[in-house]
Amino acid sequence: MKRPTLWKQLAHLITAIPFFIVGIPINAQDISNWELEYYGNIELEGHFFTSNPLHGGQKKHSLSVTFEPTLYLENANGHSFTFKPRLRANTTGRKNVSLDIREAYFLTFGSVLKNEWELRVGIDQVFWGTAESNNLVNIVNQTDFEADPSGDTKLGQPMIQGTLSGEWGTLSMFILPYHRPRSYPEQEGRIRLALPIESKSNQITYKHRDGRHHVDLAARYNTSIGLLDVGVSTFKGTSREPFLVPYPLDPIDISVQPVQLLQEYHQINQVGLDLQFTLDQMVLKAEAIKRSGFDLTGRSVNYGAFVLGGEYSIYGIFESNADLALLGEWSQDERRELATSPLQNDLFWAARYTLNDTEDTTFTAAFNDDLDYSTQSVSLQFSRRISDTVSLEVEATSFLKSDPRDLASYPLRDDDYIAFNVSYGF
Amino acid sequence: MNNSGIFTTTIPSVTSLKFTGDTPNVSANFIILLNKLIIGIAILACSLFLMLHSQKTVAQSAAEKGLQIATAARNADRNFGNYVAELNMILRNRQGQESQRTLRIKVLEVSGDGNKIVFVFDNPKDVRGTAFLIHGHTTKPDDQWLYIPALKRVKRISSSNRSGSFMGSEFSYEDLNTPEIEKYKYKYLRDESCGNLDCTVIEMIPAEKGSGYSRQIVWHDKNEFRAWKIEYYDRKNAHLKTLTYEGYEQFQGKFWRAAKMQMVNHITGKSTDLNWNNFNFNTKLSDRDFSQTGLRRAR
Repeated sequence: MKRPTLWKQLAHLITAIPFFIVGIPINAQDISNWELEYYGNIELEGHFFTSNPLHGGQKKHSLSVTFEPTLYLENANGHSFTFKPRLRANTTGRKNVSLDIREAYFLTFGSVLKNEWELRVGIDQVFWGTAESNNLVNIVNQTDFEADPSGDTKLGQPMIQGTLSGEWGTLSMFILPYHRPRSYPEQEGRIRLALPIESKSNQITYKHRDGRHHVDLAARYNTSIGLLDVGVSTFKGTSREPFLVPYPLDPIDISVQPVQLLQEYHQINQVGLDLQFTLDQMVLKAEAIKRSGFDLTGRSVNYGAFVLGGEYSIYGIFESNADLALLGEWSQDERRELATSPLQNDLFWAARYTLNDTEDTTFTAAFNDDLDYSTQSVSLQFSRRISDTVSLEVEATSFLKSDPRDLASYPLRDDDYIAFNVSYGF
Repeated sequence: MNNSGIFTTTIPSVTSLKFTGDTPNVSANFIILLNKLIIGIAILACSLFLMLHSQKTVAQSAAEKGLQIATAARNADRNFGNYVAELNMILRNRQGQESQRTLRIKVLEVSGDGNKIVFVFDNPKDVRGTAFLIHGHTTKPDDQWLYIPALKRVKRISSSNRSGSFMGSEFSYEDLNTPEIEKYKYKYLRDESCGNLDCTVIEMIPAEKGSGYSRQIVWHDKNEFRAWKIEYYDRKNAHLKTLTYEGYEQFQGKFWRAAKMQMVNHITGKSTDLNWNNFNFNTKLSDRDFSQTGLRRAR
């Protein structure tokens, strides 16, 4: 197969272009013409669990420190380089210290006819979607479950991203030449499946012969039609979600007990649709995907999934400055009991109370209700600014009901916790 | 003169009736009486018409004069193209405790529609890099987007929360936006001196729903149409806030910008100072800096 090699060469060639564009002024002009910014934050985070761990090797509590500086360089033409590594140390895990390059990209942009173009080359983060509880269409970046059980934190993704936009909308095209495996809590960590998931890179397998070097392609077109925002996206390449294979597994000798899960990455195709209808107080949101992927048994399957919902805001509630937002979202996955997502048929309800005070005080209550299984969880969040540089977040989550048939959620039944996060910005 | 014109055209037709040829003596008295009656009615009608009409003219001219002043003030600030500025906000509570916000603002003028504005927050640190984009419109609600850097997410948000507080300050979203002529009804109230200047006082009544105010009273100076004071009345018509402008400076030989704006909330006792620095007109800003793609680059 010549094609992947050609793609790789092309990818390398295009990667070099911004180095030339941005590189010329370095030689020609004094470096002092470049504007340099340096900032970032340090976070201290703790998870305290109310029950003793259920699975072998787990530590009861966990504490972590994250250092995330950003270095930003910009020349007179607005071309820039951003570098944002993240160093994280925690009390759970063999490695204890992990480094991820969240962002390291060159950015250049310009205008052509009545359109604007933008090119980003390097490691970056891309968000697609409109919903709050489940971002089905968001596929470019890998999820960092080790750092954040909510799934909102993503790993940096190497990419070439070209964007063209105009009155007609925005078209973004992505060449993704490298795959990042998903990060999971290690054996010592809580909020995980009964068996730990192996993250060592030599234990991760790929169905495609190019392995992690398979060049994935993605594109998204979005536009606004009055109050309606529409996004259509497509992805072809290595799945961000692995198929988890129990290991060791002997089909003949059933006395062999698996001790861990291995990550196996399949090739998938996905088309996605995301919608947002922004009315006065009501915002309606929807995301849907059609994917040729796999199910819980590893069998290839074509399936659809959607999340549908809305957010209703009451501004200046009780004659005060405060706002109350009520959210409801329904997720469904066509694979149902064979779905690899825990949101196979679930309702999400939330209320967010924003005081709009000097400290940006916010209270959030969220409730998850599984419609297929008797699984329910509730989460309360509080966030507030302490000073110009320090902010605090406290969260309490309880798994109210756990159904043994619900394979994704049942292992978490004893993981009720209180978490705090203190962030210092510099 | 309009009024006398109507008067003069009405009178001859009545008087001509009085001297219409020879009439029999028998009916002379009756005709004289009739003529007197007609003249009386005509004079009454004319004066009534004149009274009503002049009253209507006065009412019209208060609205027209108000609109005229607002339009002059809006027009004095047209054709600036674009500008950037730095903004330092000092939030003060009733006890006088202060907290600060720093942000940068970019403004692009759009011919035939409302301005496009980007706010980029620098301080406090937890909102650093957060950017807020407004596409102002003259005849329909504005479009707004928020960029959240931690998630790299651009979110379209409803512009209906116009009375909401901007960053916990005494300024609401609606106070920060350029008041478009079409979105208010106007009434000229009076002339008044403001400091060393002669000012006009007009009333602005929001025409769009969702405003936090029943009316605003604005003091403009007669020379340059700069705003010096705005009184805000809440929906129950209570005097809620007063905004004062200080330290006007002229840019590009034409555009006036206040160095300091102070908003005092009379009900809560809180206040917010907006200190503007480093105004820079005629920059390289263009439409692409005010798009959703551009918002991800805003800094």
